[in-house]
Amino acid sequence: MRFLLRTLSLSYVRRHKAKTLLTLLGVVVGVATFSSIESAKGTLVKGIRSTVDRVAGKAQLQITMEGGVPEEVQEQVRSLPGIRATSPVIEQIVSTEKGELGSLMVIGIDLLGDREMRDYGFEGDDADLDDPLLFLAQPDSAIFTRQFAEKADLKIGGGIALKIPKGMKRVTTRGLLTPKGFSEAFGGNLMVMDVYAAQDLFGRGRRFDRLDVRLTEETSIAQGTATLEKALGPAYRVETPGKRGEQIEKIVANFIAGFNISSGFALAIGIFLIFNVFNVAVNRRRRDIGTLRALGATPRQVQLLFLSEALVIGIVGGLLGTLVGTTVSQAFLQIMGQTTETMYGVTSSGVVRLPPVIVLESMLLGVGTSLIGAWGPALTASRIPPTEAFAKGAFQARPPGRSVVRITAGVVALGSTILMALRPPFGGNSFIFTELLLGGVGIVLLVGPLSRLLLICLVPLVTRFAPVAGRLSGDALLGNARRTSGTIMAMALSLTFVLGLGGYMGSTKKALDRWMLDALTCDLFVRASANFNRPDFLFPGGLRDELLQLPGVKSVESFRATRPLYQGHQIQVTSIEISQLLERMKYDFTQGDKGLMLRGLTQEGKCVVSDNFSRRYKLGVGQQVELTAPGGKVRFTIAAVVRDYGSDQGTVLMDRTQFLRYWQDDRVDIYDVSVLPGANVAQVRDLIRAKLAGRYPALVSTRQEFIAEITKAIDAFYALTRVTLFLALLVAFLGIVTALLISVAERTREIGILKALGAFPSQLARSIILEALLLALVGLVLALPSGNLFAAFMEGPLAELFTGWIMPHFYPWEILVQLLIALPLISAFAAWVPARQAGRLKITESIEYE
Amino acid sequence: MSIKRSCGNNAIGIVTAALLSALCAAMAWGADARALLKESENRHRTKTQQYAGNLTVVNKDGKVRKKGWKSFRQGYAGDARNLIRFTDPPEVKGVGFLSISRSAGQNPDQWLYLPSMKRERRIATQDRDASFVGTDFNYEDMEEFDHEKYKVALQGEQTVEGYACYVIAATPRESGGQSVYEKKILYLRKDILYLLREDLYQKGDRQPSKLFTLSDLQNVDGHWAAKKWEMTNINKESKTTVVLKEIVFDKPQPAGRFTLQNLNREGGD
Repeated sequence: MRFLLRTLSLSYVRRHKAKTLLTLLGVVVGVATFSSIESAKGTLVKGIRSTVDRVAGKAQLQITMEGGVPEEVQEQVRSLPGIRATSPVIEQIVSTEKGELGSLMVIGIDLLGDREMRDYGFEGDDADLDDPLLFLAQPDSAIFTRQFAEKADLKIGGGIALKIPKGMKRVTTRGLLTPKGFSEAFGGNLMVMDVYAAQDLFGRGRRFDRLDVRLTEETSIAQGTATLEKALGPAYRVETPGKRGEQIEKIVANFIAGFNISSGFALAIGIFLIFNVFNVAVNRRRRDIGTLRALGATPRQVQLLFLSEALVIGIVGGLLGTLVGTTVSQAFLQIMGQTTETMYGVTSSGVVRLPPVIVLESMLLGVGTSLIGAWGPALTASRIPPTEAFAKGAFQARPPGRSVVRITAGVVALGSTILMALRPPFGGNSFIFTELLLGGVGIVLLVGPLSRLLLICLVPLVTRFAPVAGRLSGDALLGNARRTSGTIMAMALSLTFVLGLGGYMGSTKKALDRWMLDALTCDLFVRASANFNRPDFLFPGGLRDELLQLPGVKSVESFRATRPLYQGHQIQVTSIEISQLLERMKYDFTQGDKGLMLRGLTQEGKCVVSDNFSRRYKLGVGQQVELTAPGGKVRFTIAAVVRDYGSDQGTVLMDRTQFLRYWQDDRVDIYDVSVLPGANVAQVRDLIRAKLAGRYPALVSTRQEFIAEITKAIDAFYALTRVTLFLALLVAFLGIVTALLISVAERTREIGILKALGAFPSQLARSIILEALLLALVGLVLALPSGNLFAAFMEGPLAELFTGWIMPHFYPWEILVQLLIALPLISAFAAWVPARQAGRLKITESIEYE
Repeated sequence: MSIKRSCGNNAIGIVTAALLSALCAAMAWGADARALLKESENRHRTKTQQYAGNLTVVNKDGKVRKKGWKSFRQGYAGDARNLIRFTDPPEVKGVGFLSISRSAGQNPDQWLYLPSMKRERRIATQDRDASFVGTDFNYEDMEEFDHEKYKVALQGEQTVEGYACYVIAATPRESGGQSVYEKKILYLRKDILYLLREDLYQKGDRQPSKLFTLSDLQNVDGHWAAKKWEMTNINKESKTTVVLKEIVFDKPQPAGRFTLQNLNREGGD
């Protein structure tokens, strides 16, 4: 086998370097996409978990509460039996004046008593706290990890400005920590400050983000939890750091899940690219195979030869792909981290370290993809009888057999996919996997016959406009059905992915745009936090009256959002002055109406739920939602169900009076300000800014600015998905180039004869460009229905499974137009090298070819 | 046989007598230790005390940090109330510390006031072993020593800095509140019954982890006062020295001085 590889395979590679390189590139791109997404994703999730674990230190339990844990709870908890120590914590992610340093996690802890909780000291080699009293006495005191200080060029006494809700705030380095244990959290991008200074800096009032608890040796976690839950009541969440990490991980699960689909598609497209290359290689080397068989090689040896070649390409491609993936994964992680921070308020920082498992998976995928792609062609090669192998051209011209069975099987598979999507027999990941597998099989089976049918229809049409080039390209495409269907398969899959995912993104964006136009109808939004999901600062409730007194202000509504757990999921509970809200906002009701909502919320103490909440928890008008308020469980009857895109886990909306009554917390996230008719919005904004200056952080945005900010956040959410779309197109582009190069090489003799008969190089070049255009066009035509189906699947069953939303379908006309413009250009570009190659072929050499 | 029994009886008798005398001696020593400590307390008890302190912390690398404070005390030992206000350097000026003794069995209430935050923070029992603002004293060291919270035993006599001293072992009583220390060895100067040294053993220590020495004794207004305190942390190889100046005894203190309101008052002492 080694001899065969060295002589036959290596000589083939030497003669077809470009094709081999392109095949390799296909594997590299597929594996790189997979490994970079997987390693970035893994690092993000691991980072989130590890940050929770490391920051928790020796804490066995953590107490949290929506809106923060009041200070006095610490004293209450300290006096309970079984409690060894408690320590308050405030956590905030900020950025610095030096953007290149990345996000910085600020941890506010009580340095007086935190040693019970976290392993560090401020003496010796581990850490250096210049003066503990000075540290406590000065609220700008900060301790950085040595790693971060080195990056930021910070020395003891040196300062750095942080971007915080109140604006830029300069902090002074008064200590350094060696990055180990606790200080390794958040990839070492960590700043420690006094918890009470953090309270002030981040507007937490007299509340902590959580209380870390350490139990006495004789107290078990279960006993400790029971004691705390009994003493604190249902409004407090008592959980182990591990459980809390899981919970945070759950929040970003939907975002992460989307990338599994991208990885899967990148690999599937890669498989078809390799399949195509090997398929053509088998055809090209039929004479070699015939010779081998005539010399006594067994069919198994022939099959093994091709599989060995695939194995080598898989190993090399896997290795290179893993390396490339590692280099781009850091950028992916940064994009992912920024998105999860903006959208969910959680993130992690650090350097992507490729875990051995992902290296192994990537290598296996590279090898597996190559072997799967080469398996069919290798089997075909092994079955070629020597007599047929020497009969030139007979095989290439033979269309693939048993079309009826294939088409029937394809229709059944695709039909089952659609039926299952309409009525899912089961849920979860197995449903998604089954759908994608069945859909993929259906498309694979149908693309070959359908593409042939389309080409048969298209070629005569094209020939009318370009008689010579059209006929030549048509013959080339129809003359080698296997190569053509393989290329179109890769193309169609790529375009299905692009149209489907792009269509889904477009539909989501349009739905959100419409909702924002209906929902965000006031003139000014006064916020304290730039982050939409993590309140960095909350306004006092009394500020509303001050804003109402400003000239030009018509009304002010106090919007407050909390994110409690409901049946294990983090939902959103929002409150606002409903009667005023309904005067300006248009709700899209799926159950109930405006009258029922107004009466229910303002007079009957009911709530409204979002359509995704209603679907996820199977609750509708008249049924009750049980929420946990500080005073205990409260049941709210549902007055109406409205379309709302505030939270992908569901939203419950209530009147502010109800929130104040049960939550006893008057703080406000956003003040929605409407101005009087004729009043100048810009002037009112200036008045608000002047009113709040020096007192509170205030981001005052106009309606347009606020909508633009949310749109920007949504765009950021899909930024990485767009990158995967581009990669999918790149793989498809490689497919076309490879197919055309093979086509030219295969027809060398034919091209030589054509030239001898008087064909111009330009005519030959045109035929190859036309071939590329036809491949792209057929791929696109086939991808139109499959892309639409894929988009519908994403917008419907998949979105419902993860979020409860069913997105209205909008056809991605923009993407289609973009493809219609870009594809001919890309195809023509892909054909450029093969066309030049064909034009340069010398007649004598070409005729002597083979 | 009878001789043997007789010898045996004698031996038992001797051992018993020795054990009894040892027990009686131990009881007598114990009683003496308590009496000595009571006597010491009676002799040195003052209604109030105030002084200005110069604090110097030298770490193992020789790095020196200096601070100035004013201290006010009312009461003594088990009924003491203490207020410390930092005066120097300017960055820490106004930082206050208030300690108020509570009834037996309870640790004192302690608060630290930070003017930049304009609020006090309570020192929890769990934090009693934390360093007092970066010095070698911990929050428990900042309490007045109250022998009633300890089981005490006289262990002998020893010369310290040229003075004959009683050596008394003090072990925290379980009913005396939580203590950072497992044992304290007190060295009480025989002639004036004034504490000259404490060897401080934390839990699990075979050797003292900290040494507290009082020196430069002077008689101020008829009361003995050590004008130099030194706390040496043997493990960390660091030392904190407090030099006392302007010592005044029995000066009436304002009624509200030892309250949280006063602690939180800007510029209040």
